[in-house]
Amino acid sequence: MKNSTKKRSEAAEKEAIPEGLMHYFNQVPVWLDRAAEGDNIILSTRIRLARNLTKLPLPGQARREQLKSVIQKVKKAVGEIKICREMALFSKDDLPPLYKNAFVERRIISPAFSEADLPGLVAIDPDEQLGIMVNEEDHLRIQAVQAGLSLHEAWRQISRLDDELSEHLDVAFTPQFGYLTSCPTNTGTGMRASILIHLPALSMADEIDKTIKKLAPNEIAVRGFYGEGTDVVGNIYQISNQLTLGRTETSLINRLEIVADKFSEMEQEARQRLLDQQKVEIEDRIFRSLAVMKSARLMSSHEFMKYISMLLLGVDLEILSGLNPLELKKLMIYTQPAHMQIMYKSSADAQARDILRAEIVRQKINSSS
Amino acid sequence: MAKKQRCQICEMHSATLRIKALKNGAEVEMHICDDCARFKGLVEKGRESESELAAFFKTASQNILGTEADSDNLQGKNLSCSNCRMPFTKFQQDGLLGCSQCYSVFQYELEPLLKRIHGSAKHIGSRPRPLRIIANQPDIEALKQELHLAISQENFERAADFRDLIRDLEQEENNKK
Ligand SMILES: [Zn+2]
Ligand SMILES: [Zn+2]
Repeated sequence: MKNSTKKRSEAAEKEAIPEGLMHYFNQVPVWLDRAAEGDNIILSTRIRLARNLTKLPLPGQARREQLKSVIQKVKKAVGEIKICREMALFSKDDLPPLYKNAFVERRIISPAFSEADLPGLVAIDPDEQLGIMVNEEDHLRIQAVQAGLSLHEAWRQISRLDDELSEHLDVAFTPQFGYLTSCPTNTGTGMRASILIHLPALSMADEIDKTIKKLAPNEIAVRGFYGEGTDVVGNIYQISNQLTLGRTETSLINRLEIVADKFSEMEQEARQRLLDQQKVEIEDRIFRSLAVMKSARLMSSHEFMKYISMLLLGVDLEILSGLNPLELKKLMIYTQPAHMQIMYKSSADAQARDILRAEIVRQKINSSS
Repeated sequence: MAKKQRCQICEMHSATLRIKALKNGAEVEMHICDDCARFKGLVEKGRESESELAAFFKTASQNILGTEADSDNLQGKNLSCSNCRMPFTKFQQDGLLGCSQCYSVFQYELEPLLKRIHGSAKHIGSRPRPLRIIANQPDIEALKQELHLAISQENFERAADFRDLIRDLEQEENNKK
């Protein structure tokens, strides 16, 4: 990550990087940074709200000019809102594909937004705690991200932004249906509150499905790392509310919080069971993972997530010492494919990337344990 | 990065959940979407086979498309939104509405659908700030009706939600006095 001036000018030769973009890649997301204290089971909290402008066709139905006019209206509103003053705005057209992927990896934008060939806009605050996507499935998707389990703070943050936006934009809302969204599964509050949770012991015991069934299966969705339609990697799950209509936001949040706490508790119990009944086996898995991380010469991102999960577990169970969990979580961000291409100038070639990933990981793990 | 798989029930949305279902007496793994997952309870309780579940889903969606009173007259089919011009048939295909106006044009088609998805077709959450100043509170009488409906449907968890909300609102009002 040194030598950034040289790197930037070289990159500029290949493609123009919008101003202010590198700021985000040169920092550790604040939500990750603050996650260092205490609980390593619940990694982060996010609340997103789906909002649309009245009358204008929704992104799936609109013509490009209409979507551009949505962007203009949002830009104008954001310009007038105090809490948005420090936000950086990037037009989707100006973002090179590599940086779009990296934004997905940082969870600033969704895979669907990145893939859709529609005029769009991203606005992010400098800390990456508040963000806006314009023309995803809805005209606006606004999100607040917090470290650990912090649903009420995330709700406070996002309501503030939502209130401001609704003063400057004509938001589609009826007393009967609430906020009107593209998909009826979001109608009402338009709210999806979610937490990212690391559940290695429950996964190992093959108890995830059982646990989900036990804990309000109809109200809670369990998804992969990058959200809807994505795989679970590194035993990290996204747990979120399913229903959006006929309940208040607070009631949805409270229920998710209960479920999150329960998952956390059951993970703790599963960890204790592992220690009581399979101490040697679990130590073996953790130390084998450490050995691979210290010596491998080729490492895919999938493999990396598998081992990093074991190392985090090892740290939590005090089987491993000397490894800093924050450093491990940073590795999770910076060894993702697009991040490696940006930060370490790795080539797009998968094998070359796997070689470099193994090298980065080796260096980091050997220097800290 | 993300490998996308279609839901094996509706073949429409991305699959977001893995479930175990019974097919000809044998346990199989299925990838299903959020929407279809709401019907997951069926598989566990009745232990229906996959095809029965699919059949249920077909009838369910047929019921959604017609009005409840007249389920085989698919009147929604001929409707188009006067604002965005989207025909209702397109919504049936991809599950997305065309504009905010669609909600009033297709209101009678959407109400039963929303009830199926959320167990309710009445918003009780927050309002945009400009509207909060005019009408600050959800209608307590409407909430009481919803409460009775939930009780009559033996949906006690939902009833508890309404009970708590009504209690909170009444308390707020009393505090104001
Ligand atoms: Zn489905
Ligand atoms: Zn319409």
